[in-house]
Amino acid sequence: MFLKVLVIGYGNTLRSDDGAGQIVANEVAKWRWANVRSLCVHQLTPELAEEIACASTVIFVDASISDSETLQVERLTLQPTAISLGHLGEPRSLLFLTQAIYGKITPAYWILIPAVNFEFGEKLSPITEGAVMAALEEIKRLSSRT
Amino acid sequence: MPKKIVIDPVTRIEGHAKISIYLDDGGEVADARFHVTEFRGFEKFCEGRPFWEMPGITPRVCGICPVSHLLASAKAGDNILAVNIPPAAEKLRRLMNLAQIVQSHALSFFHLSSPDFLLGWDSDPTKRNVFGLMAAEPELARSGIRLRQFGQEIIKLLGGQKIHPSWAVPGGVRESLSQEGRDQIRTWLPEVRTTALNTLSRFKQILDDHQSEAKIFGNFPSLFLGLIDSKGLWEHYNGSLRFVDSGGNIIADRLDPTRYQEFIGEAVQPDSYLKSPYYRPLGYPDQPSQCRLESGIYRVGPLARLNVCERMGTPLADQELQEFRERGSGTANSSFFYHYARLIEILASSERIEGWLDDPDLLSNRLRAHADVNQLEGVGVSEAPRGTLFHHYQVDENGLIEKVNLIIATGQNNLAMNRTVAQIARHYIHGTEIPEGMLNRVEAGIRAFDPCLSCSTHAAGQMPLHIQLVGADGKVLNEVWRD
Repeated sequence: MFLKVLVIGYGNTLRSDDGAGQIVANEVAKWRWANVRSLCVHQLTPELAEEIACASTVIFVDASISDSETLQVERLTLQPTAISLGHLGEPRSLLFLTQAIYGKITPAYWILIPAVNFEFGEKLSPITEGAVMAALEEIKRLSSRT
Repeated sequence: MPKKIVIDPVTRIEGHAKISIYLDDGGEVADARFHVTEFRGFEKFCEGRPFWEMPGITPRVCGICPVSHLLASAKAGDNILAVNIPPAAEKLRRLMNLAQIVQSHALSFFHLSSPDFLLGWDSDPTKRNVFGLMAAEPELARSGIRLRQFGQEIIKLLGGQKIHPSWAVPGGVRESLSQEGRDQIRTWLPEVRTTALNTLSRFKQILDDHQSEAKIFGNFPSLFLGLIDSKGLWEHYNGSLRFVDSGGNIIADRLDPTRYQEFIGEAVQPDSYLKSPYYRPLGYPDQPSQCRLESGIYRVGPLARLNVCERMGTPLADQELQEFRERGSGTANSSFFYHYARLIEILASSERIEGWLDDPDLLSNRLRAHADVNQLEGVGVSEAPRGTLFHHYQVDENGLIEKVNLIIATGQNNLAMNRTVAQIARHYIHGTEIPEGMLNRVEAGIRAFDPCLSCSTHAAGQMPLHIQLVGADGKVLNEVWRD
């Protein structure tokens, strides 16, 4: 079955706001929408390329240090601007990898949730908590367009 | 005037490391040191915790090999309970360990090391990585990704998640394999075997083309340590320990792993958080000239495991082992052969998994032996992908940890990594110039060991290498950093 939307939420759930990506992905999973698959991962790894290749759209969700308290949504282009793995793994690199290995260019979005606290902990700051709700609404909007 | 070259940080390894290369008055390499500069302190902050928690805590040392710590920790707990775990639980633990070996070796070979020998030692460093490999050889890269996926999926099928699964516990395991999971594994196996065989075939061509590197990448006599089973076959979970020398002669055999302190000593280095284990009866090799059979330096990991065992115990892997020994002139001493050994272990793991898959015990619900604290000390030993791993706990009557000692594979290879760096540096460095390709070869020498520095210092982080060239007066004459 050709999956339509793949949501990949990543980050460290033990580092307060850094867990926002996984929290969003967890919530999306609870929706149980037939055309949406949600993955919670600690970091972006090459193995995700196969999942991305099977989707019509991929939405990356991560926490981000930002001066703004507003959610940022980027439409990603295919450009290996930061070729790396692990904690510094970049969605664009993963898209490049997907294209290189599977010959598939999957339309992608990057939802960046404003984050202020990366200390040890499992709670979100008020700013991030609010942005998580906005991220979920954005995912609903993007998913309904595909 | 003597000088020192320092490589800091080292790239494409797990963890944070620095290399110092010391030149003599003539500008030739006198010595080299591999430093690990991070510290986390698991052995200390676990004091006071219930030993039951240790299989949940210690895997957090590392995100690449958490399963290894999970299993060794659970085995230490088994000791404290003084139980024999149910046969089904042992088989399931073995299955997970084999999956761990496959995924970790796949990561090491395809993602970390192969860019060097497939793209070229002197190729553009911005492309000499897994993404460059994927652009140049997409089919090979795809195979490697799927191979790692195979191992990770088994870990997830058993433990519920790919990283830090909470599954093995003192006394057994929490869950068995489902019928559906078993069927999934069965469908993947043919591809895994094909990938392993194809990659082995490819690597043998690489080996032929890299004879000069094979001769100088950590090619020196040392002891080798690994587990063997009762028949002397390749073993990864239980069994006894065997030391062989560089000629394949058995130095010590059928050693009880729980009595490791009788034959393994640990030296502390002044400039690194990485300890230096050595074979106690032959002493710590504290002289540069002690790179000989009579010193206690030893290596662990895939190369060592293949050197100590009689056979792998599975048909295809045994054929490969035979050729491995022919190419390595018997006991392989070159650390370049670590890459080769990893691929054979992937093949052996897939064969063993296939042979066990129909065992009904894998679906059993008899998974736990229950007991209280019956011994105040427990040692758990298993073969992690990188080598023999020891977890040693001392507890009080209530099971609270009083003391922890962890001996990690990478630590046991520390002395050998130092020798490797020195050997490569002696070959390529003459004077204060540090060509980039030379730097990469020094790093590649380290990568052959697939060090896990987060584990071995119980340290955190993932950062590249810093190389520093220092004179005898301590002045830094040249430096290179890699992000």
